Amino acid sequence: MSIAGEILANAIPGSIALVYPALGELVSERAGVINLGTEGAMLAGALGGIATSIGTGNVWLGVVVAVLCGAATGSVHATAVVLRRANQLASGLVVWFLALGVTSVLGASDNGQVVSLLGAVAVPGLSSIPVVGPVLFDQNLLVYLGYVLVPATWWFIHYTRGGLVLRATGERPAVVFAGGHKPLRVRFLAVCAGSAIAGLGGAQLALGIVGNWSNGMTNGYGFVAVAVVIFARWNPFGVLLGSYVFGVALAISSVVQAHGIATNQYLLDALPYCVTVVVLVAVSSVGRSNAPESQRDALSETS
Amino acid sequence: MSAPNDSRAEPHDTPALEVRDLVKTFGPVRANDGISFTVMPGEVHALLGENGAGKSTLVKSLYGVHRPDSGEILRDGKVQHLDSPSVARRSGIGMVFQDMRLIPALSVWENIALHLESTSGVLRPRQLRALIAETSERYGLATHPLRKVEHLSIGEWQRVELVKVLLGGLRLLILDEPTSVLTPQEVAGLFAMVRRLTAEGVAVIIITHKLREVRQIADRVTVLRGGRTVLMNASPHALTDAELITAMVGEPVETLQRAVTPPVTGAHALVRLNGVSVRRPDGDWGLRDLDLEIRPGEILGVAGLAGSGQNELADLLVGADGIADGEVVVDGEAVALPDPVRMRRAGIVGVAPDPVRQFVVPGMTVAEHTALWNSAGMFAFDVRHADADLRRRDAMAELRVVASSRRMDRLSGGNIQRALLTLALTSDARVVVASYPTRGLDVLTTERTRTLLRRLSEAGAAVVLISEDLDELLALSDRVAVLAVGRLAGILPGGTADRNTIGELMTGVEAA
Repeated sequence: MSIAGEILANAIPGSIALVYPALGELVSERAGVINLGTEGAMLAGALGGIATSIGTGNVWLGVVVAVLCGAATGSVHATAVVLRRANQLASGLVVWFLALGVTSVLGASDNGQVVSLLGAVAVPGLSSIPVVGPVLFDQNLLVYLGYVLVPATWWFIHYTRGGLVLRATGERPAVVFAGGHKPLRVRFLAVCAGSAIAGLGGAQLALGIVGNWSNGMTNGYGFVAVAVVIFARWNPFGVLLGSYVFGVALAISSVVQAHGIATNQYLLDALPYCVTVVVLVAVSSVGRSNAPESQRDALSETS
Repeated sequence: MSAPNDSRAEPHDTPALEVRDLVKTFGPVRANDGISFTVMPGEVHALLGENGAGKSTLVKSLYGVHRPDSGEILRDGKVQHLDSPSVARRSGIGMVFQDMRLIPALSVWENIALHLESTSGVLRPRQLRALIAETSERYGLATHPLRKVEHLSIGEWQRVELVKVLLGGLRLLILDEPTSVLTPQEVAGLFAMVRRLTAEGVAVIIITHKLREVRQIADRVTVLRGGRTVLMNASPHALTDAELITAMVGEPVETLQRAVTPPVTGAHALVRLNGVSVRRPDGDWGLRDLDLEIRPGEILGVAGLAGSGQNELADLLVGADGIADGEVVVDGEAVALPDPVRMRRAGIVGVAPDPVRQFVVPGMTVAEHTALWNSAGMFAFDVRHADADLRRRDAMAELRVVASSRRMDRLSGGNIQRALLTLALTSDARVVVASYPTRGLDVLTTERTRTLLRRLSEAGAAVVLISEDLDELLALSDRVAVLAVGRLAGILPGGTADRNTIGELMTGVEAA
């Protein structure tokens, strides 16, 4: 396989680790809450997954715990922002720092311990398609879940009553309230659900790709997720595309390294984040943003 | 459930709605102080009253938004407790609010689905769209289910609200000042729909302060004043306009009659717009190739559907907006805009279209606003004499402005408007640009404001009167300029202009 092909193929697992937090962020933002604590939810998910996996030897139990840890982290942000009306940006950053600190302390004993990764499962039939088959359909189950979650999220927000109420809450909560729904409850649940999904991203990173715990191992995925949602214009399929672009930039670094090509490693590591900034600026300058209406108020609110 | 009953079993002498001694207090304020009236099935019942008479509080109690302190609400002869809007909706009460409750970013059908109790967990867009189309057609309410609400005209926006309410299975419809934003043609369409509903036995309550509409549509009328019923279940045909106004205000009010003023000829234009175009922040044209002369001693009325460029014109004239093309000539000299200071020095004073955004400084008192209004330079902010100045202006304007120590941002819309009008209409102005000066004001203050505008123009000032109220424009204007999508659709002499011609120009029927 050529280097380019190798990069495109290697990008899949990393992209999926970003698809989760970005979808989570999307759900939360569609309800009108920006969650910068997504990074924290991922960290909590990653540590919860690893620790459970080490403790019980059951990787899948680890995945379940990752979801719960993500949701628990999200509930901190939801309580502050939705119930206590704290500033969304401040609360999100605090939740991230809190998660960073707590996971560093709790994860100290797990540092360096290696767990077995989630095994790859070839999908019969699909995986034998030439070229793309093995790349797309010889992955672990969390990758497949990511594939499914993208259209499922799209379908949910556009074709269910719950999704309609979610979107309406992000636009004009007062109208939703007048319509007999409870916007605060919708927002609380959306933040928790979004963070639970972000926890799955932590699990994919920890149990699907790396296989051990290190402090702050999510490396800003949660923040890139916020950027991906803007790039995607709050559309799940856009999230898939945006995550893959980031995943490719990430894969370039590891593939180039693996081939022993002499470059500056620091520059390579910075590449995905540079790509994010460049793409975001390019995308923001064309067309309209589709940002939920209530976000404007949320960002200027200081009380 | 989609349609109201055609054949009603009950005899028609049981009221569809009966309100008995309804009381609702907010702290020390008795907003509703023992209100009673009845609405028969198939009847249009008008609720009349000044600002603060308690009309909105009353209908909000009927729609389950407020819970009354005491009194009874009977539906078809049985006592009913309306604890929330959803209870009210389920029992067949529908309400179209003044500030319409739709979400711009969602499509028409999604907005409707959001409010239907019967929406299933998984949406069925096709089925719902068919239902909307059927109801739209049946009641003559043209809507486009797939379009996004933000792209709708205000009239279509209201039709969507009506469809939304109709789909809920309607027995009693409450319309809160539904006509204030509509063209005469749209008002006719709305009233046709109301008649179709009443023919099916639906009872309709309409809040308005336009007597013309009461005469057109209402079978009976109830007048509220100060939270009490002063006239109950009366027939409007048995009453004169003067009697109705006296009931609303508590004293007779002389309504301003059209003054026959000689046409102004040969006067120099104070402000002249030559082919002016203005871009909106979103890139669309706000005004396009506008030629307009503003002359002393003349009231120039400006009519148009909401968003046809009136606000851009107002902002332009007070110097708040820049222009993309053309020129603005003040006293024979082209000015570079934006330059509010220059325009103010030229004697141009504005009544802002959106006072809450453009006039109110949150946290500042009425006195401080007065000082701000008077301040001419960086250091001329004189709060000490502001109170005396405001009293002097209030004595001139007689608009009953509130105490100057009150915080402006905590006042009601009507009181903010009074403060703004008091400042603007007593200033030494050569040009007054008054946008919607009487919006949200009661009869007494409205008449007073109109008199002040007339006096300013008689004293030689130029008045630009931007209004949604065609009656107001026709009663006051020497000329009426009609805007349609930012262009000048025509200028009519005020004395001979009629509602329908203006309506047609507004919608661009003849503009093409």
